[in-house]
Amino acid sequence: MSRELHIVFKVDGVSYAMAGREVLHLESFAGATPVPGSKPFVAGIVQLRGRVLPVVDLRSRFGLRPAPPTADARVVVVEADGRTVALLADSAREIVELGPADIHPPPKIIDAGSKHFVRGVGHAKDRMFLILDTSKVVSEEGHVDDE
Amino acid sequence: MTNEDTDARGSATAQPVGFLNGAGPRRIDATLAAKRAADALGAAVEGLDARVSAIRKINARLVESSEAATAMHDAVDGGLRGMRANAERLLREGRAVVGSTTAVSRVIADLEARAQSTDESIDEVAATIEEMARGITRLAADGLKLGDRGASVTAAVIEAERSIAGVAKSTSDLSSGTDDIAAASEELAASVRGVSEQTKRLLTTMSETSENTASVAAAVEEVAATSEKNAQTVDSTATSIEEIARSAVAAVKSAEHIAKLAEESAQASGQLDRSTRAASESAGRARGIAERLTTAASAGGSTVTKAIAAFGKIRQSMSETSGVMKEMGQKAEDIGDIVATINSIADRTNLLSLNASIEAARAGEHGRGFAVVAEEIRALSDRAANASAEIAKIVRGLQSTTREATTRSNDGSRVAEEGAAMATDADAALREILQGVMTLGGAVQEVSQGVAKQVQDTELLAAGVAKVAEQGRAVAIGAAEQTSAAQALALHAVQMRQMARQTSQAATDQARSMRDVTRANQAVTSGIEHVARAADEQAVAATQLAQSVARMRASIQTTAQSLGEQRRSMSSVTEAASEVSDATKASGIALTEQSRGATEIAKAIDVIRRQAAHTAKVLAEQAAAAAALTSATEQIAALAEAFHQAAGTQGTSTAALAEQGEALQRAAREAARAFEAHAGDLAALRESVRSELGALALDVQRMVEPAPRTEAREP
Repeated sequence: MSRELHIVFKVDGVSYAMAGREVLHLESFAGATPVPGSKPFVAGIVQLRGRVLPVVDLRSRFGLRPAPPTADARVVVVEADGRTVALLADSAREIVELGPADIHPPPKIIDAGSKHFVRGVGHAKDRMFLILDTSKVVSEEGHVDDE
Repeated sequence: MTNEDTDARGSATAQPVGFLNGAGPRRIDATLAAKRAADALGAAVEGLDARVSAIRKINARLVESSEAATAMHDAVDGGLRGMRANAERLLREGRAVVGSTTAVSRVIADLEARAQSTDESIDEVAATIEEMARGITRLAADGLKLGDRGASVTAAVIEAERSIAGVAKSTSDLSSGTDDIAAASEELAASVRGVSEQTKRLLTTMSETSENTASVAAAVEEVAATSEKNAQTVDSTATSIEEIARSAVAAVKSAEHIAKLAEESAQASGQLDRSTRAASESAGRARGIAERLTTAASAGGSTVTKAIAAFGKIRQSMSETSGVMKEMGQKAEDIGDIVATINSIADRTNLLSLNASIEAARAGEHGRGFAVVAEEIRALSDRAANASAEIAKIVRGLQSTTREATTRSNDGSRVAEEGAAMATDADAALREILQGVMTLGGAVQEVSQGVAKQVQDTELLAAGVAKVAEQGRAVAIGAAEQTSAAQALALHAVQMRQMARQTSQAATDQARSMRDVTRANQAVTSGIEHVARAADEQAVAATQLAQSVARMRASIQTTAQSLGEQRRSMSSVTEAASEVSDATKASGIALTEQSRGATEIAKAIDVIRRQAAHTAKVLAEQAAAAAALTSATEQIAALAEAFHQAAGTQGTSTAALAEQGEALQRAAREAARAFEAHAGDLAALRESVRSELGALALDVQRMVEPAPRTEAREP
């Protein structure tokens, strides 16, 4: 089995990993233009490489306390279900290769609490990464919204 | 044989012859009567002879007695002279001691005024003064007693004077009585003219004898009375002398006490000397300490000045440090900017490398090499970011350190300023201390000088006290001599008393003898009168009697004169006694005042004792001792003065007595001489009377015998 490249980013101190095939590119975050009437977890819109993309604030998306973006803040541009969305993370500085053996299903209680955002837990370099289900994160509906 | 004798014989024989020429039986009767009268006259002459020898013996005894009395008077006079010499010595020594003690007392008082601070023994001073006050009170009581005694002596003398006045009055009465007697005698003389010349002669001599004897008798009576008085005076004088002897013993005790006090004073002054020397040493030490203090303060002042300068330098260096730190902070900021730039470049590189990795992964196997390069670039960028983060951290630390250093240096600068201010304050304080120390040094210097002066004074005092002690011993010796002198006086007084008694006894004996003589004279006179009556020649005797009365008047006048003299001398004695009494009373009063003053002093000292119980101990004790010494010696001097005056008075009295005794002696000898002169006359008279009697007897015989012859012839 071949190992797959994952992009690692952090939100509120927790490391998340996302498969490299779902990521288009990474960009610095210099602020987003707010869009009236948008979802609360949508920070606004940005223009990247000639395209206008919505920015989903992962803190807000995961129901965490809000924090102003720093110089380390990154937007991870992902494509899922035909939609291209910019995910705002606190930082994104590394990549990790994970094989199927390194990925385990999340514990039930986390699975229930995270509303299916986490599809597994990866282990590498004695570190642990929560692997996000990109489709769930980018979908307009979510357990968080529903709540 | 004189004409008078012949006349007397003629007269004596004329009458019987007349009778014989008359009637026969009557003539025989008359002749017989004449014979009886002649026999009686013979018997009377015999009796006269016996009485003459008795009178001679009595006269001899009289002279002997008066000589013995004179000798006794001389002895008494000698004793008195010794007494007076002793008294003068007493007085002289007392005055000398008083002078020296007064001088010493003055010196001590002067020192005491200067050494008021040494007041530790005021308690003892007060006690001593109280003791002194008691002693003075006692002495005052003694003095007043002595004054009373003097007053009683004066009273006795006045009494004696009064009795002499009585004697004078009696003498005056006697004089007027004698005038009457003289008148009567004149009448008698007129009535008995023509009395026999022989009897007249006899009567003349007898009258003279009688007159002399009466004069002597009067003088002897007078002397006896005076001796009695003198014995009384001597008795009282002896009592006074014994009193003085007792007083002298008391004075010796007093002097011994003074000597003891003087010894104590000497000890106390020694202590004072030591204390003063200790004080002097302390003052010297204090001066040394003050000098060291001055040096230390000066050194401290320079140190503080240095400190102020150092604080200034610190402040300057602190502000320089602060500037450097600010500069450093600025540099660190610059470094931080650079680090931020580096960091952003590293971030950017990281981002690019990550995107490259994504692109490489998308390229699959073709992008594998590219992916490795991208990964290396990312690693490099991470290392650069880490390094820049490290640098940023260091810069932040540096900046905080710089800020802290700036704060600290500002604090340091402030502290340095405060330190400089404090150092300035310290400098000022130190200058003040230095000034104070210098002032103190001056004060200590003054104290040291004062103490040195006090040391001198104390040495002076010690010398004075030594002198006092010496004088005290001299006083003790003098008092002892006074005692021996007084005891000698007492001995003299006893002897004098004895002698006076003997004199009095002798005078009384003389008076008795003279009374015997007078009686004998009276018997003789009566015998002569018998003869005169028998011889009918009383007229001459009467004339003689009148003359004798006149002489008696003269004698009475002499007696009156001598009485006047005696009265005058008694007056002077009274005055002297009054003076003695007054002086004694004055000394008593002075002593009482002194006692009162001493009591007041004691009270004042008590107050001082309460106020300054621990001051002037030794010196005040000395002063008190000296005062006691002075008082005691003054007392002794006063006693000696009084005694001296009393001795003088007694001397006057004894001199008067001696004069009278000598007069008596002279009178007695004169009487003896006169009597002896008349004794020859008496013997001649006796012989003539005998021969006349023999002739008369023969005549009578003749006259009687022819009668029978005539009768035989007639019958």
